[in-house]
Amino acid sequence: MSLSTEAVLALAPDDASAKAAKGLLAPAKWPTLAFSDTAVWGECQGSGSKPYQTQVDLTGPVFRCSCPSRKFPCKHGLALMLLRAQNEAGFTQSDPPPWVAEWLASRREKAEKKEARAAEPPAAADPAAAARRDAQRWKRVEAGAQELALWLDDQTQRGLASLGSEQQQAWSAMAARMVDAQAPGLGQRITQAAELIGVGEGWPARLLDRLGRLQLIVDAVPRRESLSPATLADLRTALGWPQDREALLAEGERVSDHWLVLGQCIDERDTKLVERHVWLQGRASGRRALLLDYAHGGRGFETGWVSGSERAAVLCLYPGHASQRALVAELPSDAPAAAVPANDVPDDEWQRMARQIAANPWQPLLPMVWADAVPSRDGDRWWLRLGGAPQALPMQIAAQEAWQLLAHSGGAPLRVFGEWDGEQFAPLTAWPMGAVAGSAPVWTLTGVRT
Amino acid sequence: MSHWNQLLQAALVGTSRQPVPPVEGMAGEFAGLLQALQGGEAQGRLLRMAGAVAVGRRAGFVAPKLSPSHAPVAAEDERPELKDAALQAAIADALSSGPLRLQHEGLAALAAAGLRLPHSLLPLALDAGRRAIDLRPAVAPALGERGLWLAARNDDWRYAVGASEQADAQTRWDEGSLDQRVAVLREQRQADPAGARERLAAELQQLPAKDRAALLGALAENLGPDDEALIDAQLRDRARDVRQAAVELLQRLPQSAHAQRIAAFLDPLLKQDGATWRIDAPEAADARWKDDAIDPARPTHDSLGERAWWLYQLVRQAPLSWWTARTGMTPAALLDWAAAGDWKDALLRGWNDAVIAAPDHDWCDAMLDRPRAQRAWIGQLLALLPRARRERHWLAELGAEGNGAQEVVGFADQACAPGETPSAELSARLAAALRLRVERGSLANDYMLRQVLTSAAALLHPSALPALADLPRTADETPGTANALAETARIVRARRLFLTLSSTSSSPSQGRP
Repeated sequence: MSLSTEAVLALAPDDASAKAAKGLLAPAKWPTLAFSDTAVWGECQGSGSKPYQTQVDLTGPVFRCSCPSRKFPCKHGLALMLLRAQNEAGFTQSDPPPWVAEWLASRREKAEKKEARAAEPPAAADPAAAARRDAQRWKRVEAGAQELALWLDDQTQRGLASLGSEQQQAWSAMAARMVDAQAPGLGQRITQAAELIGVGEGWPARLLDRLGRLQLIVDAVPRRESLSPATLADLRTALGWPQDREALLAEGERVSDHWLVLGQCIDERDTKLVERHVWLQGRASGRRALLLDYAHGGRGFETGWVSGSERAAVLCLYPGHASQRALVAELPSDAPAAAVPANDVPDDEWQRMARQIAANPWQPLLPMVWADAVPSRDGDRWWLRLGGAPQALPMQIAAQEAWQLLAHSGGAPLRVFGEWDGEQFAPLTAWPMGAVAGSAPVWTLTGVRT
Repeated sequence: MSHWNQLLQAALVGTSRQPVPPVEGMAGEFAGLLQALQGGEAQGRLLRMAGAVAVGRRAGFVAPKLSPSHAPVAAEDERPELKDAALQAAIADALSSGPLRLQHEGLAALAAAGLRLPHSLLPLALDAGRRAIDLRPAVAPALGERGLWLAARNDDWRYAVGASEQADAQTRWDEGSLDQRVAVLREQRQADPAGARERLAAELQQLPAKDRAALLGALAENLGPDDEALIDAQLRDRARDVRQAAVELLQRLPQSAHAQRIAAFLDPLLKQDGATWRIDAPEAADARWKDDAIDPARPTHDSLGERAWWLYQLVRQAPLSWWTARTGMTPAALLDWAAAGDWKDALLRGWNDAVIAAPDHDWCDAMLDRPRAQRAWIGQLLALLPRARRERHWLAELGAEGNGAQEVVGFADQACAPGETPSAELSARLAAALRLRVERGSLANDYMLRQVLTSAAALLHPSALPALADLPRTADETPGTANALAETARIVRARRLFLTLSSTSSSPSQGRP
């Protein structure tokens, strides 16, 4: 696997790391540069006498470096991959030296152990204790939902027109109450609603939309006994009920496929916390899935995904209707190339969206692929014009990125992937129109959105 | 009013004042659901109905219609794009954080090799050109069709769209910024000097002083005797800057009435006594001076005395050719003569002003050849000379030991436009001198040298680059030294990469004279 310069830079934990990596591209800094079938490694002369040993397992790509940096991947790892992208001839093919071979072997061993563990029957959980914990939590959530129902009714009795910036504090307090009641999903929705107050033209309509949908969650809590297991799972997700990873891997629906990486984005959640979305589409199944990961303090993510590439994986989907969110259950590095033709039948994205919402009205983001779309600027706003139709989606995109996208389009249609939040479309990836599945995109969103 | 809008209205006013609106005029399953909600629990009824409608609206979302786009699709590019990843990265790096010369060199090499920028670098290049006017001539040829198309979509980038920039001079003259108006006037002066002069004359008196001075200066392009009348009238302008601009223009017209009048003032002051010439300063201010923008009042803190001030003002306005014609002396002889006389400060300062207002290469050469103490404005004087005539002075300044390397890099940096370099010979000597300093460890204490080193890396003739490559590094260097060396290495590496582009094309990117 060889990554393009852009794909490598997209793996950088922050802009400073990317910039620092670019400063290390002098071949003179790298007394050793070599590669094997599965890895790339090099020695980088730092400020000390002993060079840093930098290596990348290409099956990930996963980085390792002997430098003391807490960034992950560090500037040396990024620089190594940038050099690889820009100057492949500078690397010699060889057998991995001990410091590389040992690491690769230990990684393989760990993966095997993990598999073995997964194959073992899970330790017999105590179903009675689990049920007790669940019941306790539901009790607190229900009390919180009741309180929220009263509060919401109070807001509508007094009228939304009376709301102003002075209410922010009361709304934050209510959001915090919901976190205390172990329903952080409700708290988050209150916080998002509060941010709408007084912002932009037509804010009351947007606020009513949010609060109305929040009311539906609140209504569902006391009716939980009558809900189907799938709907109950959707409700738990909406409430922010954490998913037990081990249980999901043991019991969740597994889908094995070659997955096309439709696109990805990284959002800053807190000063220290970033959230990554990776959207996948199964080659054979046509199924779309979301990998949602978090990373603290610029540490980066364990597994890197390259937009536009395809890789074999077994995903474990979260329970619920039309479930999107998934965990990676297996990531075989030696899977044969996909043999089945891509399930690339153009779907009506509007129909897909309507089905998705009908199945689960609480999914905040929906993935959309527009096979024939022209980015354009109209007035002060960015739009995605759809397939020659007069319709266009308002885009949520930073100006700098939008100009990049426009440069690649030149007024001609592109195949564009992005996230739809019900009001705005955030483009993440673009290909030339008619590009085959698995081909490299012309544009991907880079950097961290704040 | 739609049901949603009725719900919104009730929500705004508050359900304590306005009841939840009934579901009317709707049929089907969804209406049934809403009616059931309407009849259900009172608490939260409005939001419950709004939630149901909101989900329905989401599922049935209809994208807004835009008026059709009239923007054309970008034309196909005939020129191939730059594919080489290392070169792409080097150009991207230069455009985002490199010195202007490096940006210019990368773009020019690319265009000279018959290539264009890849689409992903177009916004970066257009932004770099927006920030630096000097870079713009190199940006436009590297853009290709796609880049020109893109530039036309963004007001900040319109400078790159030659067509629209040329399209309507009248609009730019009527509505443009002062810079644009000056540019319109200069352009027109090249083809139609009289037309441009009339365009200016029609408006000149209504403009603010700053605009009057700047636009009058544009007449320097293609200046001729026909311009004299208009310029002469500006000698009595209210604003000092405008008078000064007029004086500088008239100095370039030795036959002008103004030049003749100045000469007539000076003539009786310059006397021949046997073989030697003597000059005297005026004894008293002349009332006629004010018509020629001569200010009899000496500024309070000026180093010249009152009579020297009067003389200086006459000297700076006189065409330099008057002196050589009148005395038969060469510029060098005149400088020696003045230096030995009583009024040397007034004369030398006046001549310096005069040579900068109306460049004269022989006078420049003579001034630069004088011992250092008598030379002011070296950088400005050097900039007036064509490169071939400058380098002699630079070599002298550099000295056999290379001690003047820092000054000469500074002068050359000022004097060479982006795309120009000093000659290969001078560059080699400068690079060798700088390398020697680095090898002696001077970087540690000499922060100026750090700056000069990176300027030189971007400036010198490409044949001198090997001497600046692989400069010695030490384990104990300070961050300042490390930065300077890393930056130098980065620039040298990028320039050597750019050279690989021109080695495959017919015209090597050498310094133009």
